[in-house]
Amino acid sequence: MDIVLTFEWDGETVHKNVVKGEGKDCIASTKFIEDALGDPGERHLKAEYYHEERNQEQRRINL
Amino acid sequence: MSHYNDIKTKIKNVEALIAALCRVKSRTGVWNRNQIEVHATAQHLYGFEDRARKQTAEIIIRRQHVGGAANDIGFKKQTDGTYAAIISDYDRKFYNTTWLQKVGTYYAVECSKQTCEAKGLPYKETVDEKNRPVIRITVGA
Repeated sequence: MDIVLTFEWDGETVHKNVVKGEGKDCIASTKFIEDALGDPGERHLKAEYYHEERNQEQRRINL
Repeated sequence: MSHYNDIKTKIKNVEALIAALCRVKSRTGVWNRNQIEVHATAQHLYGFEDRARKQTAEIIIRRQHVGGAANDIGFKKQTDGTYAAIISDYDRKFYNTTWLQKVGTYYAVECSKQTCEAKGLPYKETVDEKNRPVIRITVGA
Protein backbone atom coordinates (compact mmCIF):
# COMPACT_ATOMS: atom_id res chain seq x y z
CA MET A 1 0.00 0.00 0.00
CA ASP A 2 1.01 3.64 -0.39
CA ILE A 3 0.56 6.55 2.00
CA VAL A 4 0.11 9.92 0.31
CA LEU A 5 0.74 12.90 2.58
CA THR A 6 -0.31 16.36 1.42
CA PHE A 7 0.98 19.28 3.48
CA GLU A 8 -1.07 22.45 3.84
CA TRP A 9 0.78 25.76 4.11
CA ASP A 10 -1.05 26.56 7.37
CA GLY A 11 1.89 25.00 9.20
CA GLU A 12 -0.02 22.20 10.88
CA THR A 13 -2.47 20.29 8.69
CA VAL A 14 -1.35 17.12 6.91
CA HIS A 15 -3.86 15.15 4.83
CA LYS A 16 -3.14 11.43 4.92
CA ASN A 17 -4.59 9.15 2.25
CA VAL A 18 -3.91 5.44 2.20
CA VAL A 19 -4.18 3.96 -1.29
CA LYS A 20 -4.17 0.35 -2.36
CA GLY A 21 -4.76 -0.74 1.24
CA GLU A 22 -7.53 -2.95 2.55
CA GLY A 23 -8.97 -3.75 5.97
CA LYS A 24 -7.92 -2.96 9.52
CA ASP A 25 -4.29 -3.73 8.76
CA CYS A 26 -3.90 -0.53 6.77
CA ILE A 27 -4.77 1.57 9.82
CA ALA A 28 -2.26 -0.20 12.08
CA SER A 29 0.53 -0.23 9.49
CA THR A 30 0.23 3.49 8.71
CA LYS A 31 -0.14 4.71 12.32
CA PHE A 32 3.61 5.34 12.60
CA ILE A 33 3.33 8.51 10.54
CA GLU A 34 0.61 9.89 12.84
CA ASP A 35 2.73 9.07 15.88
CA ALA A 36 5.67 10.95 14.32
CA LEU A 37 3.72 14.05 13.29
CA GLY A 38 1.18 14.74 16.00
CA ASP A 39 -2.51 14.26 16.63
CA PRO A 40 -4.64 12.31 14.15
CA GLY A 41 -8.13 13.52 13.38
CA GLU A 42 -11.16 11.37 12.71
CA ARG A 43 -10.57 8.55 10.21
CA HIS A 44 -12.89 8.21 7.24
CA LEU A 45 -13.14 4.62 6.04
CA LYS A 46 -13.45 3.98 2.33
CA ALA A 47 -15.05 1.23 0.28
CA GLU A 48 -11.95 -0.98 0.19
CA TYR A 49 -11.91 -1.18 3.99
CA TYR A 50 -15.45 -2.55 4.10
CA HIS A 51 -14.71 -4.86 1.16
CA GLU A 52 -12.06 -6.60 3.26
CA GLU A 53 -14.36 -6.72 6.30
CA ARG A 54 -17.07 -8.36 4.19
CA ASN A 55 -14.60 -10.92 2.87
CA GLN A 56 -13.55 -11.84 6.41
CA GLU A 57 -17.18 -12.18 7.46
CA GLN A 58 -17.87 -14.37 4.44
CA ARG A 59 -14.94 -16.62 5.36
CA ARG A 60 -16.25 -16.96 8.91
CA ILE A 61 -19.69 -17.95 7.63
CA ASN A 62 -18.23 -20.52 5.26
CA LEU A 63 -16.46 -22.20 8.17
CA MET B 1 -8.06 3.94 -0.79
CA SER B 2 -9.26 2.43 2.43
CA HIS B 3 -9.11 5.41 4.76
CA TYR B 4 -8.04 9.00 5.02
CA ASN B 5 -7.66 11.48 7.84
CA ASP B 6 -5.98 14.77 8.75
CA ILE B 7 -3.11 15.09 11.21
CA LYS B 8 -2.37 18.21 13.26
CA THR B 9 1.40 18.64 13.43
CA LYS B 10 3.21 19.21 16.73
CA ILE B 11 6.85 20.34 16.58
CA LYS B 12 8.79 17.89 18.78
CA ASN B 13 11.58 16.54 16.58
CA VAL B 14 14.67 18.78 16.83
CA GLU B 15 16.42 17.46 13.71
CA ALA B 16 13.28 17.90 11.62
CA LEU B 17 12.88 21.46 12.96
CA ILE B 18 16.49 22.27 12.00
CA ALA B 19 15.96 20.80 8.53
CA ALA B 20 12.81 22.92 8.20
CA LEU B 21 14.68 26.08 9.24
CA CYS B 22 17.25 25.27 6.54
CA ARG B 23 14.50 25.23 3.87
CA VAL B 24 12.55 28.38 4.67
CA LYS B 25 13.85 31.74 3.42
CA SER B 26 15.26 34.18 5.95
CA ARG B 27 16.20 37.85 5.55
CA THR B 28 19.81 36.76 4.97
CA GLY B 29 19.00 33.97 2.52
CA VAL B 30 18.68 30.30 3.35
CA TRP B 31 20.27 29.24 6.64
CA ASN B 32 22.62 26.30 6.85
CA ARG B 33 22.97 23.79 9.69
CA ASN B 34 26.04 25.55 11.14
CA GLN B 35 24.06 28.76 11.69
CA ILE B 36 21.57 27.06 14.01
CA GLU B 37 22.63 26.43 17.60
CA VAL B 38 21.23 23.46 19.51
CA HIS B 39 21.66 23.39 23.30
CA ALA B 40 20.78 20.68 25.82
CA THR B 41 19.78 23.42 28.25
CA ALA B 42 18.14 26.68 27.26
CA GLN B 43 20.51 29.62 26.69
CA HIS B 44 19.80 33.34 26.76
CA LEU B 45 18.78 35.14 23.61
CA TYR B 46 20.57 38.40 22.82
CA GLY B 47 19.13 41.65 21.53
CA PHE B 48 20.45 43.92 18.80
CA GLU B 49 22.48 45.92 21.39
CA ASP B 50 24.34 42.75 22.43
CA ARG B 51 22.44 42.57 25.70
CA ALA B 52 21.16 39.28 27.04
CA ARG B 53 17.38 39.16 27.03
CA LYS B 54 15.32 37.43 29.69
CA GLN B 55 14.09 34.82 27.21
CA THR B 56 15.94 31.53 26.79
CA ALA B 57 15.76 28.79 24.16
CA GLU B 58 17.33 25.45 23.24
CA ILE B 59 17.42 26.18 19.51
CA ILE B 60 18.83 29.58 18.56
CA ILE B 61 19.56 31.52 15.39
CA ARG B 62 21.86 34.38 16.37
CA ARG B 63 21.01 37.90 15.27
CA GLN B 64 23.81 38.21 12.69
CA HIS B 65 22.05 35.45 10.72
CA VAL B 66 18.58 36.87 11.33
CA GLY B 67 19.39 40.05 9.40
CA GLY B 68 19.36 43.84 9.87
CA ALA B 69 19.25 45.32 13.38
CA ALA B 70 17.87 42.03 14.60
CA ASN B 71 17.48 40.08 17.81
CA ASP B 72 18.16 36.37 18.24
CA ILE B 73 15.37 34.00 17.26
CA GLY B 74 14.78 31.02 19.52
CA PHE B 75 12.68 27.90 19.80
CA LYS B 76 11.93 27.04 23.41
CA LYS B 77 10.97 23.57 24.61
CA GLN B 78 7.61 23.55 26.35
CA THR B 79 6.46 21.29 29.19
CA ASP B 80 4.56 19.08 26.71
CA GLY B 81 7.72 18.52 24.64
CA THR B 82 6.74 20.80 21.77
CA TYR B 83 8.83 23.80 20.66
CA ALA B 84 7.49 27.34 20.53
CA ALA B 85 9.12 30.21 18.60
CA ILE B 86 10.45 33.29 20.38
CA ILE B 87 10.64 36.20 17.94
CA SER B 88 10.88 39.87 18.92
CA ASP B 89 8.18 42.30 17.85
CA TYR B 90 10.75 44.07 15.66
CA ASP B 91 11.70 40.87 13.81
CA ARG B 92 8.08 39.86 13.33
CA LYS B 93 7.93 42.31 10.44
CA PHE B 94 9.67 39.62 8.39
CA TYR B 95 9.43 36.54 10.61
CA ASN B 96 5.66 36.76 10.83
CA THR B 97 2.81 34.26 11.07
CA THR B 98 3.15 33.31 7.40
CA TRP B 99 6.87 32.60 7.89
CA LEU B 100 6.13 30.49 10.97
CA GLN B 101 3.47 28.56 9.06
CA LYS B 102 6.06 27.75 6.39
CA VAL B 103 8.41 26.50 9.13
CA GLY B 104 5.61 24.29 10.43
CA THR B 105 4.84 22.89 6.98
CA TYR B 106 8.48 22.17 6.20
CA TYR B 107 8.82 20.64 9.67
CA ALA B 108 6.03 18.17 8.88
CA VAL B 109 7.65 17.34 5.52
CA GLU B 110 11.10 16.80 7.04
CA CYS B 111 9.71 14.85 10.01
CA SER B 112 7.88 12.53 7.60
CA LYS B 113 11.03 12.01 5.52
CA GLN B 114 13.18 11.30 8.59
CA THR B 115 10.58 8.82 9.88
CA CYS B 116 10.60 6.98 6.53
CA GLU B 117 14.40 6.89 6.48
CA ALA B 118 14.50 5.49 10.03
CA LYS B 119 12.07 2.74 9.02
CA GLY B 120 13.75 2.08 5.65
CA LEU B 121 10.62 2.99 3.69
CA PRO B 122 11.00 4.42 0.16
CA TYR B 123 9.35 7.79 -0.43
CA LYS B 124 9.17 10.49 -3.07
CA GLU B 125 8.64 14.22 -2.47
CA THR B 126 6.78 16.27 -5.09
CA VAL B 127 4.35 19.21 -5.16
CA ASP B 128 0.72 19.10 -6.25
CA GLU B 129 -1.23 21.45 -8.56
CA LYS B 130 -1.73 23.88 -5.64
CA ASN B 131 2.03 23.91 -4.98
CA ARG B 132 1.59 22.00 -1.72
CA PRO B 133 4.35 19.55 -0.76
CA VAL B 134 3.36 15.91 -1.24
CA ILE B 135 5.16 12.78 -0.03
CA ARG B 136 4.23 9.34 -1.34
CA ILE B 137 5.45 6.51 0.92
CA THR B 138 5.48 2.86 -0.11
CA VAL B 139 4.70 0.55 2.80
CA GLY B 140 5.27 -3.21 2.65
CA ALA B 141 6.64 -3.25 -0.90
